[in-house]
Amino acid sequence: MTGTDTALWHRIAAHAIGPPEASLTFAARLARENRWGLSHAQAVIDEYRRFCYLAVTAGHSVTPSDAVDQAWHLHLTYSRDYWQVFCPAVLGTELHHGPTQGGPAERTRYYQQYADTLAAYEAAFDMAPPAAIWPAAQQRFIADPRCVRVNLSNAIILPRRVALALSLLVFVVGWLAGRTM
Amino acid sequence: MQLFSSWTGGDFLLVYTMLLGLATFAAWWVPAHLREPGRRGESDDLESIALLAGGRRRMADSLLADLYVRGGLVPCEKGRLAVVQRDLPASPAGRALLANNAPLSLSDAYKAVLGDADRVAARLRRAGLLLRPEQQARLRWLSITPLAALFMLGLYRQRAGSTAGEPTGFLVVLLIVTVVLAVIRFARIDPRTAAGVAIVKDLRAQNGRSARAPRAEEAALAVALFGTAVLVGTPWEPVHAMRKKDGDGDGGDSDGDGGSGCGGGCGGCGG
Repeated sequence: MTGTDTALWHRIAAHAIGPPEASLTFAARLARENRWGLSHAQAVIDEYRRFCYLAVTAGHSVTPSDAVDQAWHLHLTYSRDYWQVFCPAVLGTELHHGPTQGGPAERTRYYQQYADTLAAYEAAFDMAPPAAIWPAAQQRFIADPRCVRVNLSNAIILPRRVALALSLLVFVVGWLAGRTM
Repeated sequence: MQLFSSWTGGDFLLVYTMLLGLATFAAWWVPAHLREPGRRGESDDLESIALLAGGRRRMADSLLADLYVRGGLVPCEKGRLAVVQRDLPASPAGRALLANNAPLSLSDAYKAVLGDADRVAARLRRAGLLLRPEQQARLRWLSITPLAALFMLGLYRQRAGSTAGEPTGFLVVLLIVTVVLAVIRFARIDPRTAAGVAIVKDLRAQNGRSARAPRAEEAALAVALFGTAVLVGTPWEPVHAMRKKDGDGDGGDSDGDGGSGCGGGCGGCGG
């Protein structure tokens, strides 16, 4: 029997987060806040459900990927749903969020929990976690923690390679202009 | 010297370029499809798997990862690893690493396991998973035959053109490209039988998750199958960082804050 055959999973899968009739649904808000497409946000929510299943059944602490963590953070802000419905009636237990306290020991602990979570996922659902949502350790623990909030009303975001190409272009144009004058 | 005499230099260059593309394709297709089948034997020990997946250096890498994860090695200055538990249970190759008094660099580790790697390779040859030297030599020569034949054809035309006073500079460049491709193909032949290739492919498919975030007990096998890049972002990253100190990177980037403590994990307590 896989995790998707259990009563717990059916309850988690059937639970709608946030009012479905809202003009800005939970999935739409998650997509907007992370600049994801709606289909990717919905895939992340599906993985968040699996994460919650593992948190209850794995028998050890679990650590989400950064994407799943964003879904968890957002769900926590729907506090009435999270604490008054989801935890007691769906999960049947409290699921607390514990951010790292920092330092090498914590980093090692969270890495081990992440690795254990991926293994538990594979065992529970009889499939490997999707790599696009559950990335490798390098992405999870080196690249993803560098994410920051940016207000787009007063900032421009350029991928590094585009910025580098533009810088080179400006340099070459400037150099040619200097030669012709 | 009448062959191709009616062709212009441009026509011949065009045909040669197309043939070079075909010959290069053939030079890579031949070893992929015409290698010895070998025998689908058992190969479940770490050293055999590492050597099959990545050669002698990969075997040393996986042993270093194994010893590091079990606490036998710790990082020290200049990206080296110091031995702190000489009595750790280990294979003969592992014991050769633990016997080093000075901190280990990557090249030290490669040298230390060389003899044991040769023994493992001999065992894999007997098991039908690695090509025997004569089979490997045959595959090398077979692989470069299309490029060699093309080179002879081009050389013939170059000599004829040169004798007739035609410019042959572009053809000489193409001949050099042909030789370079042949040398690369000759030097970098996969030494495994078809069975050896298949075993590694199966093991990689079975252990795909551990390439992303191996658990402690999976780290050495993950390195054996996928290389030390799988250790980037893990607590065992110093084994990968050794490569950078030796100027010998195999992919994977590690410019992060390894161990500096900005983790980013979030844990929920299980029921």
